[in-house]
Amino acid sequence: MKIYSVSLGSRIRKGLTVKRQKDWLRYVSFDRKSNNLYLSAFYPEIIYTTASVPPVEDVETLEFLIKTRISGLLEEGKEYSILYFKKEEISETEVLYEVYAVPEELYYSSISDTNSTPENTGLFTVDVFALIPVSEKVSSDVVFHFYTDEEKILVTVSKEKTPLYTRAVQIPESIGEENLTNFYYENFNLTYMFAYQNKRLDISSIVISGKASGDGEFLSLVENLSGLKPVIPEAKDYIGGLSQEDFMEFLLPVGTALLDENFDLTPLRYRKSRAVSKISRRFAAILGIITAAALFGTWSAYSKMKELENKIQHLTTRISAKEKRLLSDIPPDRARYYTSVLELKKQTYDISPLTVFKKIYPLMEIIEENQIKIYSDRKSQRIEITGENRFDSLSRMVAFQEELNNRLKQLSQFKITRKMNIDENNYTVKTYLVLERKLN
Amino acid sequence: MSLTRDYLLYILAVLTAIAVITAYTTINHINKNLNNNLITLERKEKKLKLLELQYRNLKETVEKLGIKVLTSKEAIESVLSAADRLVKMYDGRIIRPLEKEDNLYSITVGFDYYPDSAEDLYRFISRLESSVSPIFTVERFELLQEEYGTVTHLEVKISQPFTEGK
Repeated sequence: MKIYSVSLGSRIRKGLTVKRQKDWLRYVSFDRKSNNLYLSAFYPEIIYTTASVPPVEDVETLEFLIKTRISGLLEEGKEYSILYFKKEEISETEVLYEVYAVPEELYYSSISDTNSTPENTGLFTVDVFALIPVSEKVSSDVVFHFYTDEEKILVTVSKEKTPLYTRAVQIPESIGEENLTNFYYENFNLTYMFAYQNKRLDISSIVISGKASGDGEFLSLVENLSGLKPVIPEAKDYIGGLSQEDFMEFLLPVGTALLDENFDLTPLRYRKSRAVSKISRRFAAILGIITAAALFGTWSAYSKMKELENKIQHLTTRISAKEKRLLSDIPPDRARYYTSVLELKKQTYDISPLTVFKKIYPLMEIIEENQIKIYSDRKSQRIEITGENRFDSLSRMVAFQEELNNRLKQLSQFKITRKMNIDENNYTVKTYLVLERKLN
Repeated sequence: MSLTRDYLLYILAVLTAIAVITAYTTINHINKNLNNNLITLERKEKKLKLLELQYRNLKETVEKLGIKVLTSKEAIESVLSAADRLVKMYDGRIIRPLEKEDNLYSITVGFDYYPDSAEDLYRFISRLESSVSPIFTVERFELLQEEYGTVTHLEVKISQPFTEGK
């Protein structure tokens, strides 16, 4: 996600374009290269308080209840944006929140100062919160973060993503460079003691960033006071492609770009419309992918359709030409005539006595036939053979009968009926055979 | 307002998706039908190829056998003159008179034939059955060994198809 992150001070403005990859950034440009604006404004008058409200899930109702509870602190007639962090559950019916409120006019003036619009503003917050993502990487315990630049001092005490105490101070123009160290120290001392003693925050790390991180004298004073060695955050832990010097210079826009929506002080109605827009855009993107896939499928189906149409056209032409050629070659009535002649010829051959003789030749070889009758029609054929064989011995007569049986077995295509009259005294066998077969 | 713009974008995406998916479904349906048509045509072409082969074989056979196309009048003449010849040559008689079945004339003649030998009988029947115009089909054949020699009795159906056009 590409972000143009801007820190808006009372006199100075610092911005850079980065690419966010989870909790790490990649530097893109110091120019505005993205329409997605993250904005943090300097606002020392931020209202900080606590409020206990009944537990509710709905964000809108919860914000309304909190605003009602803190209404005494809010200026009448002004709309406020709030941030709230759950501190503890007092009872089953009451939850205690730490609440930060800024007037909505700060939001409007900030986006107007940056020539932006609510649509282009992805996140709006106050700059003290921009220090939290930086502190978060230093320690998971309570971190006291002290930041300075040319015009202000920001202090944020936080534990992981939860702010515990914040302070923003405008550096008077009357403070010269030579007095800066003292001014820093005074403010550090005051805030640190307040957080440590009054708020009883168990500070485990001190982070010094911005202009003050280069002030050796101040750093040693801080160490002497707190007994903790101040940590100066390193650019490589937060952003790639940016020098340490530039990182210190642009720490606020870097930290702002690393914030999540829990620190968004954009008025609720814009947050809501942004959420709907986000869902709409997401759905539109998903539909876009589906449409693209379907479009590709449609295009491929269309190409296939054209291909099929061409194939069908070619095939139709080819078939029609072939049909024409065949019809002109042998017209249907002539084809029928030839077929009829050839069928008759085939039938003639199938039932011909010559064909029958070939089939029954094995019988003719051994039977002394007196009579052969062949009757045929289109469907069947009947063959009657009458014969008489004489022998000079009984053994030859028996051998004949066996041989006849064998040869009849080989004529399996016929249904065979036989009658045999055997005269054993005269060695004579009279044979009457009927062979029947079906014709195709 | 961004909300309206994004919502419009979403609606546009929905409508586009519906249009594209409808188009895809329709074209796919058309393709299915076209595919079926193609399969039918391919089958038809295969049948035609087979028919072409059969026509070529038919043509070759027709040329080889010298089959001539006869009209109805020519077919009657052919059948009757063949029957006449058999009756006269072998003292035959008409068993079934001239019949017309579809595009075919036929007549059945019965006669006796006294072959000198088995070879003679073979030659006689072969010659008879080799004719293509008209066609002689031996429907009944009887062979008797008599004391004076072999006697055969044949009933031959003489057929001749014809065509209306020539």
